[in-house]
Amino acid sequence: MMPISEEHSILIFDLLEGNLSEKEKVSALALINSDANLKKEYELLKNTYLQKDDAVHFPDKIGLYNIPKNNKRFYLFLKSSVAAAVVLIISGIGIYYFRSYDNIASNDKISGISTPIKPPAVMEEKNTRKTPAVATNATIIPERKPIQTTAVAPDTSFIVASQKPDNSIMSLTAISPREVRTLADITEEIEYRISFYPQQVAPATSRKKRSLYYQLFRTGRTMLANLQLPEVKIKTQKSTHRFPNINIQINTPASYATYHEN
Amino acid sequence: MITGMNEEQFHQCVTAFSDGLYRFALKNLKDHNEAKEIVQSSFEKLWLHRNKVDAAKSKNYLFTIAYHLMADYWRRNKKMMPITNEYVMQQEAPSVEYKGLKELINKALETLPDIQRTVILLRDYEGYSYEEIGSITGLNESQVKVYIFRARQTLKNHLGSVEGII
Repeated sequence: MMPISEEHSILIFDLLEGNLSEKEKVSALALINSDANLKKEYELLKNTYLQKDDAVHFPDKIGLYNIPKNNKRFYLFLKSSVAAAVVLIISGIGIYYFRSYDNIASNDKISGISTPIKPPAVMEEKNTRKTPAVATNATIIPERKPIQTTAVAPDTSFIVASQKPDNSIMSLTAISPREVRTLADITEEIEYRISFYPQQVAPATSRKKRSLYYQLFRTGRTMLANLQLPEVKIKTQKSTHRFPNINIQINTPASYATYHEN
Repeated sequence: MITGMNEEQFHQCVTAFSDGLYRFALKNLKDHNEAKEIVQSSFEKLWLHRNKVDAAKSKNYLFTIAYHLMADYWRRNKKMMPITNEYVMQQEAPSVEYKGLKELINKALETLPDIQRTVILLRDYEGYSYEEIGSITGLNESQVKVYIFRARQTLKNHLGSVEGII
């Protein structure tokens, strides 16, 4: 078969596609019929038109009718969204709960508040059974000592309490970079009050550890309040460790020494 | 103004278009499971957006969705098909095993580039105009016409060569 020109190819294509007017169609057919090559080309191109295969049916048509009622993906998305929202809300509450304690601690100014803290009833009861004398003392505010004003250096920090990650033994230590009488007194007193909490009642469950942490923090804060130290802020530091490391820091402001000297 | 669709109209769409859509997907992908998945996804999207789709334009909407899903499928599987269509044409030399014209055409159809196969299927199976095919595939009318012309030329050449052998 002789190759035909592109112009004729396009003409035959347009004829078969129905792109020609009636007049053009008649003249094109006349041209095709007059040339064997064109006729052959026309016949071949005519055969390229696809016929629908009506035997092919979508196998799961019933499933499509049910889409409005059983839209699995939609419900999966809905469930996931609800679950995500619940997790977010719980996380938000948790964060708020933890932050609120930090904010209280960092913003707290000791200004003569005198609110003695009472150990929890269960612990008190336990102490009563084991060491009745200590339990009785737990509710009594120790006698105030006079503040040694000249001994505090500006911007000094002291870690007065800490909790070890392993919690089985709650270690409370007073660490002082300098031997400062006044703050040593504070730490002693905090240590004394915290010691009312039985040291063996901190089993290795995170919930109880958290509980202990707050008890410790509240006790320390109240103790500092009871001591009536002016212009002393306390600050807690939470470790990123899974088990909370508790540091109660007493930061003396720069003006503190001056204030007391005057 | 968009009137949206109700459940009954949606069911009518399923009855009227699911087979055609399945044929279109199957011819393009040659994979029953993928074709089924595309039909289901298309109808699912139609249902989800039933308030925004006119019942009269639901067929176009379905074919547009199906085309986009197939385009995604081709994109995903592009690395798995490094052989060019021309190469396939050479490799699959027409043999006398073909029993009829329909089978020959179907075999030749597989060797066409994806876009050419899509436009020719939309044209011949569904009877869409160039403009409608353009709106489904995102091409303009001239591009659609050129692709159909090239596809027919390829099919014609394939048929011509077989005829020579026979």
